Formats: sequence, C-alpha cells, structure tokens
Amino acid sequence: MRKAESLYVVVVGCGRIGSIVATKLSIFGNNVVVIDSDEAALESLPEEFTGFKIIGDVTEISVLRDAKLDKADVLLALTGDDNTNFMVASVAKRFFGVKRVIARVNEPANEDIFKEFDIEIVSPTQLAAMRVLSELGVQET
Amino acid sequence: MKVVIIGGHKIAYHLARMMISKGYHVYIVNKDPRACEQLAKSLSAVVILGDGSKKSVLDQLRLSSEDLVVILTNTDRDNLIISQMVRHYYGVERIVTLVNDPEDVEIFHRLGVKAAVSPTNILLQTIQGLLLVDEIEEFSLVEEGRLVFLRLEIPETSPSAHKKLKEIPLPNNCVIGAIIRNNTVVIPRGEAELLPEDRVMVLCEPSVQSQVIHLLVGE
Repeated sequence: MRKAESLYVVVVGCGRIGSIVATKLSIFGNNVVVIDSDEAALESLPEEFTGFKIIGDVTEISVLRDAKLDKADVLLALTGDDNTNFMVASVAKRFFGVKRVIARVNEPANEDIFKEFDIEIVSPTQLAAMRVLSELGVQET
Repeated sequence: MKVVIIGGHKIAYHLARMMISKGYHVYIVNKDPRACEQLAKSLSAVVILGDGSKKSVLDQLRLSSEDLVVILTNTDRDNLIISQMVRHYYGVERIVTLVNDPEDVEIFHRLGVKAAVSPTNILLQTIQGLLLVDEIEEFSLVEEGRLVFLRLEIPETSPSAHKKLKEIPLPNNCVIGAIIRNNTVVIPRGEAELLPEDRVMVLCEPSVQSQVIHLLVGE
C-alpha cells in the first residue's frame, strides 16, 4: 500500500471481512469510515483502527450522506448480504459518483448484475473454492 | 403479457385478486411458505415459492419485455436488486416498485425505475390535504419546521366570529399577525373583533396548529 497517497475509504459492513480490511487500511494511513448497524461489531474493532465508526442502516441514504460518501475515493461494500452490497454499491456509483466501488458478492449467480453497474467484485465463495481446489492440486483450466 | 407480483402478503393478495378479475395472467413470487400456501389456495394464479432476488427463481418466470413486474417486499435493498435484475436480465420495462424509505424514491428513479411508490409519502400528502380544510388558504412550515405560518378565512360558523381577540382562548405560542378585511390590513389588538370573511395571518408552533385551526375555523 502506497503510504504517500492516503485515501478516503468508506467500508460498509464490519463483519469478519470488513473489520480486517478496515483495520489494515487504517494502519496503512488511510482515512477510514466503517458503517454497520451492529454496535457490538464496531466496538470489536482493534485499537489499531483509528478511523471513524458510524452506527446505522446503510440502506438509508442519510447514513451514507453522514459518511460523506460523495467525498470518498473508494467504497467497499463488504456485508454478508448481497442485496445490501448491491444497493450500497450501485448508489455509491450512480448517486454519489464514487470512482472505485468494490463489492463482496457471496452468491456467484449475482455477479452479473454487479458487473452491469461497473462494480468491481470480490467473491469469497469463488476464492475459497479455488483455494480448496488448488490445495488438492486440481488446476482450473 | 403477464403480471408478476414479487413479495408482499396482504397487498400482493388484493392486487393479484383485482388483476385476475380484470383478466390478467398473474404470477406470484413469495419466499414465505405459509404465504404461498394461502395465496395458492385463494387465487387462480401461479404461485412460486422462492426468493425473488435470486436469478434462479426469476428464471422460472420466463420474463419478457412484454411483462409487468410489481415488487412489494418490505426492504428497499431487495426491491432495488430485483428491479435491476428484471430490467437487465429480461428487458422488463414496466416495473412498479414499493419504496419503504421515502428518501429512496430518488434512488429508484436514478436507477431507471420510474414507478417507485412510497406509501409513506402518499399517507403524508393525504394527511396534509386533510389538514388543509377549505378555509385554510396557506399552510407553510418556516424555520425548518419549528414554526407554522397559516393564512385562513373566518367562516360564518367560526366559534371565534364576532368575538374580540382577547376573548378567544388562543394558546400562548400563537399570534395573529394581521387581519385582512375588505382588502385593508388591520393590525390586531386585543380589542379588535373578528368578523366572518376576515382573513387572518397566524404564526404558531406546530404543536398547537390543530387547536388554533379549530378555534378560528371550527370543526
């Protein structure tokens, strides 16, 4: 991670994936805002996380406004719910004009609709499956 | 052409019933098994049990650009992804979506769903319309809603007609700023009498608006 260029990153979802990503980004000197409706999830962020925390429902546009999404360089939609990630990501793209939008897509069948909106996707399901296969020495062709 | 109703329980039932009676082929998608059972028993519609935000479920509907899709789930994130899927995957253009959070209406519009219906907004407008009885000529919120400006006409039947202002039991957080009588302005004092056909300008706090309207206009 380039330290010279610090980014303003909004992370949606402070679950297992979101909390790791937000903490690392924060350690590397970026301005990070994490949003989750679960207060306990936000409290469980380690001390190394020095960014902001917002408790709120990310499908409410006022919450995204509070996070100053219009100023964000990157939006990461990392909740465990694809429909939430799609709404946040498409709103970030079309409504707030965020340049880089990356979403976690859990259900592989949903990947196409995210791609239709130029949303970059990360699929934990695919990644895990590929990893298991490569451990077994099965190469994807 | 078929009408597809995704989500919703009571509204889905009544809407389906009426569309069927108008002769449309109605398909219903619902992820609640009990709702599906009830809908299937009481309606001559095709009922599909499944999550309407899954492509595998939508594929079963064999949608085409001719069809009309009504989306009624109680979460906007589900309604949004469903609306975009039916648009992008099957070319459906006629989409009606229920919007739960009134602030989301703009998002649906921006993402190409023209018919985004917010029941909250409809209720709000209806309530405001009811508040605006005939005698109220103007009703506006000022200072971010902390103050209400009212312009209303005093009817013959008003409980305050032919009364002096000081005799009208107006609440403290309310003032009558001016009376317009035969096109002339009367700056009211306590001794001034209100007459039928007077138009009064009132400033008050929102908490007492209906009390003030009742006192000046009547029930």
